[in-house]
Amino acid sequence: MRAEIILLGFALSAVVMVSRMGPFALLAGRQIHPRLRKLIEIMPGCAIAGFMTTWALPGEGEGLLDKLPLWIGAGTAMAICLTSGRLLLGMVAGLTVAALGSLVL
Amino acid sequence: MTALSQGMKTGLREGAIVGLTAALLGIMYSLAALEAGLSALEAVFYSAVVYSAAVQFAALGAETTLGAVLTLLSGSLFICSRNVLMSLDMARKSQGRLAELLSMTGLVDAAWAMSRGYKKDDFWGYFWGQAIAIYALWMVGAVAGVTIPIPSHPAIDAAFAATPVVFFALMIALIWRNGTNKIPSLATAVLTILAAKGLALPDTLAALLGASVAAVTFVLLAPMETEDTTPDTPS
Repeated sequence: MRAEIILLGFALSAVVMVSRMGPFALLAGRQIHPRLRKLIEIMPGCAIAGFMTTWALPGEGEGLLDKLPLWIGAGTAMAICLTSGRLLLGMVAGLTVAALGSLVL
Repeated sequence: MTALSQGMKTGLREGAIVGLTAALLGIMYSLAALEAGLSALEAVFYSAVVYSAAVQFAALGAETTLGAVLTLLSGSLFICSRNVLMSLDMARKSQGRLAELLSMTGLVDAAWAMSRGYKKDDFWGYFWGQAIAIYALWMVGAVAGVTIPIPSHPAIDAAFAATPVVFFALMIALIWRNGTNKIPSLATAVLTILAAKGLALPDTLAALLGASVAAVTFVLLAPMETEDTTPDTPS
């Protein structure tokens, strides 16, 4: 294994772990304003929605149609999870629909 | 040997279900890493120590000059902004124990989203169970990706390409099922599209801007429920 890969791996690990543990250590046990508390409660979900959206958008040289199977697959997975709460079924169905959609479209 | 708490048992069981989706991500990363020129051992090493698919994908093909590494690390900080937000949210449940802080090493989207819906006793046992199960299955996927030959077929390629988006869609569905208001997430999606395509902002910045504007606006406009300001105590 290359030494630079090991060093880079540990450097990236440090960034990831600080982002996971640092805020927790700073805020744990502190009293915060209800509005800030509400913001903290909903922001992670918003960030997940934002990142998901950017990954689902067409990149350079891609059209909307290229990403359509992905949107349909994601929609299928969400619909199953929302109605039944079954994550694995939602994942398998979503990926199957996305895969079949890419063959058809 | 100490018996596992009920919360941890539940966490392990439910984490195993969501962990199967993490295993798919692990396979996908390993395949991409091999294609980018990493050895099998290096790909597994990254998955073991970094344990963040988004950061690992961003690092693929990165050069190892000082400038390139600093750029990569600063970019990773942006990508990790989700971790910061989830970590702040988890801190509301803290009872000030070291084990809680250590459990944050396993704070991934799936574990956070699942734990949001857990209302029973032993919240931190549950979270530890989740974190262990998801990490173990992520690693199973990472190892499988470098050892098991995956047939090349357009449908399989499409399924792998769709995995991150489908996975995140499930996380959002999970959060919604746990009673979180849908409006901020939907508004974030719309604002992110406008920022990325209308303002031509980089993807990560567009996502963060969309999320920030949607969340802050929602919090300012939504009526505040009556609640105390003490940290949550899991019931």
